[in-house]
Amino acid sequence: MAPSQDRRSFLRLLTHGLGTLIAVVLGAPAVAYLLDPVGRKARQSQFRLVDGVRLDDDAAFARGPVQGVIRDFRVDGWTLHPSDVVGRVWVVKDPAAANGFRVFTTICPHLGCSVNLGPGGGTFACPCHNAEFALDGARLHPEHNPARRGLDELTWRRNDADPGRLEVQYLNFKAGEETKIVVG
Amino acid sequence: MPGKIADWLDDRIGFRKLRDALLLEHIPGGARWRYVWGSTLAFVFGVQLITGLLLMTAYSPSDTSAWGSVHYIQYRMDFGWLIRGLHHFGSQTMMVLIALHMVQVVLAGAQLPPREFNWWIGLGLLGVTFGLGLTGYLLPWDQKGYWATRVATNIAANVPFVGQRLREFLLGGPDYGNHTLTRFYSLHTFLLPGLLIVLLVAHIAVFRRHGVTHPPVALPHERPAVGTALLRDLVLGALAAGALYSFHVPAVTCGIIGGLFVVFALSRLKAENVQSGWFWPEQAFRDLVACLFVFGVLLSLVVFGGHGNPVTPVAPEDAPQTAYQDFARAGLKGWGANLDAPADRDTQGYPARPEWYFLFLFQLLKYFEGPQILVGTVYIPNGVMLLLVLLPLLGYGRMRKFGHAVGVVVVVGLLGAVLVLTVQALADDSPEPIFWGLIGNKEVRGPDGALDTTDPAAKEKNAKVAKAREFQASLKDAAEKARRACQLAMSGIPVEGARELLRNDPQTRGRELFKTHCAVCHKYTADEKDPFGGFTEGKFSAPDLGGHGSKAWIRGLLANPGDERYFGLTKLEGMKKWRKGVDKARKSASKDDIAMEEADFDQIAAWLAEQAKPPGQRDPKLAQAGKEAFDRQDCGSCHSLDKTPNSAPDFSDYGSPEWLRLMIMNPGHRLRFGQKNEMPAFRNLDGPGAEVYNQEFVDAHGNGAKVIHLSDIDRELIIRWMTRDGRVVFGGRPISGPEKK
Ligand code: FES
Repeated sequence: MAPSQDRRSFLRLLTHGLGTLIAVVLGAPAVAYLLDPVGRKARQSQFRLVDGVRLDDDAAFARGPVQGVIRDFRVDGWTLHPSDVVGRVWVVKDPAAANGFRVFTTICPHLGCSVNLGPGGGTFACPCHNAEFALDGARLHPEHNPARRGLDELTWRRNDADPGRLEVQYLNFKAGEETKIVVG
Repeated sequence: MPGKIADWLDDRIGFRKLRDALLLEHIPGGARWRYVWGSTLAFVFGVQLITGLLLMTAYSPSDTSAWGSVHYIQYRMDFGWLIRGLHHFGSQTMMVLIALHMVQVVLAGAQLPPREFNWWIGLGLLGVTFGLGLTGYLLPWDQKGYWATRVATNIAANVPFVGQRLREFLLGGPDYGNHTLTRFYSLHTFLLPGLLIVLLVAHIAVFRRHGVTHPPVALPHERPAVGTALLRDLVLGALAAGALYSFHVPAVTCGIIGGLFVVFALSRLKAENVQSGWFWPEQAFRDLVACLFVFGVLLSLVVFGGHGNPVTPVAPEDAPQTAYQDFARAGLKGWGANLDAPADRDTQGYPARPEWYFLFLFQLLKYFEGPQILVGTVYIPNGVMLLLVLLPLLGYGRMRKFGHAVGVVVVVGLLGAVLVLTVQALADDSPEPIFWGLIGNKEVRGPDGALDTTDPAAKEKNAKVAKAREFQASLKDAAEKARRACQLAMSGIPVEGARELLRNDPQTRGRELFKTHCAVCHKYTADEKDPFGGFTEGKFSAPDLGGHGSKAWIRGLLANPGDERYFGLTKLEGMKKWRKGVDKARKSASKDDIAMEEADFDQIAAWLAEQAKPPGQRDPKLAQAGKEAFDRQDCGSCHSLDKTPNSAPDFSDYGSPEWLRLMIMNPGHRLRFGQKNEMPAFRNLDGPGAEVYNQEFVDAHGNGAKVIHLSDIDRELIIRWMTRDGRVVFGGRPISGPEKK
């Protein structure tokens, strides 16, 4: 090889090296920046008071499940909402349950729509893909129910100061799974 | 195997042909260092494109969210500070590189025929780059960008005939706001970059058509020896490494750059001495070394420029745990670009200055007054642009030599003028001479050291210094507000927008409100290091509220209620009379009795000071001992502890925000100073419900009661300022910050 050819391939190598160096120095932080939201945890929820439900309101429960709302401060990127609705729950009076009540999140375990009461109020029905659940949260019509698990039950307790009021630890669960997986 | 895949791919799409067309450019006269500037410009533009796209994924152009999203990028996203910093300083770097590129072009005479078009395209690129700088400056929606843009768009409004329409078109209406941001955003992220890319492609294509403007190719016997070229490379390398080092680039990087030059210089020994070369790799190598150099400067500006505001993370997830996170979130340490306080139209005398590369236009503006303003804003800049456009036309036929010389003179002269104007603008704003005392303002003092007030010329000079001082003071104040806003925002930003942070910040806004409403009568002594500050200058007529309700304050009151710090300036006689009684009794009391009484006073002060805390946090032992001392000293004959009216103020929750609230809104209440009160009531006289409350107030106190309007939020801000509680007030509720201990 002629000496100048030697030099040219040497320069070629160096140039490739330089290009790679710059690309890495710029590219690595760029990728880290893009991946920033991945794996960010939602705020862990504490027990929060539920509005719109009184456990001692027998008349209301005699009519069927009662819906309650949970407000909390919510962080959305840079914005802080001091008191926003973080979610809603269905409260069902059920003598078979451990403390006489069951509390379900209104989020459908299929793909996250919001679950209504079914016609007549005897079931829960999701308006999106017709998943139906019994008042104890169990899946109905397993042969054509798109959800893979029953309604998600939340842990609750009575408020110390006012036992008629309900406190719930509000959580979100992964949609579409057979088991409850907390996602924040 | 990779070769086979490449062959297959090439067969299908023919990428090698494109690559060769791009890279195998013949360079008559050989590759040279001086040709690198165009490539570095393209490189920095590439960096701007990449970082710009990344910023777009996190930025939100609206009046209420723009600043917050930029703050989020800067302080809370991994490497947000770096991406934003590169973009910020990248634009400034482009301006410098454009100047270098232009100088190199006219030196070579590359604007002359047949390359006129490329010169014109280049001028178009210059205009678009200015446009990008101008639109980008607004996007963070901070004070700096907001006020500079107001100035710039009002200049546009002065353009004859179309000005007003043009301004409305740019702003998206008659005023600055959401639509200004969305318009500037689309201009900045789509239209202008798109235009720039089109022009850049054309620029490169036309450049390729004519090739580099090289000096006459030397005959073989005239060629410089390898030794000379080698030596020049070494000198260049030393200069480059030295320049980087002075820019605080880490020594390793300087070493790499310097080393590259050395390696390259030595490789010349193997070169055939031909005066012709190819873009790939001879020129490409030089270009990349230059790009690396520019990149190094850029990075060090971001990291070591020291332009950011350091803040303390509030939410646990924002606090770096590892060395990596410490680096990824280095915005917290103040690395990266500056973020000014959120744009707020309600700001007095913000010291607006454009970005430094527009300072020359700003300075030019100062020389033209009144209707002449158009000369500085429209006629001169456009005249200069026209002159530049005409430059290549001087190169036809025998004029070429002349045209070449004129080109150099005009461009270098213009850059010189820009430099002079920029320096003058900086000098005007500095109360002391700048650049080693070479230029700038200087005070004129008489022989006795006092400011000269006799000589009119001296007076004018001193007035200029005073003005510059004032500018520097407002700059400092603005920087302080920026720091404060950045810190407050770490706890989250209200939905109403980031400007509410400072408007509702007890530390800054609460202080201003205390000054106008309270410091008229009340002194407030504060520790010098206390960031909330106090008020000690002036004539006061009421107690000093510094440390009100604290143990020391109460203890001092018990010792000497007639002191100016307490009721000395007021007609409140109860405590003074009580103390007289105490002093009289002590004349005949034993030493032990006096000591016991003093101990009781200590106890009472410590216990009362606790009442400002929430009930659950009070010390129960102290509560018992304090109450006993309170009873022993018979304080209960005038003061109550359970909100039953008595002849002196009630002490339940004494010193707490609740206690202060009643004191401010109704100082003549039976639970406060009752009939003896001299303070006006500060109440919200606006808004729904206010008229009902105020009717009730008048019913209770008669028409004589003095009432001054103070909105609910302003009142809470004052209370927070007094109790040194820095949480932002929002509709009277704390929206941010950890619970106050
Ligand atoms: S989301 Fe409820 S059924 Fe699909």
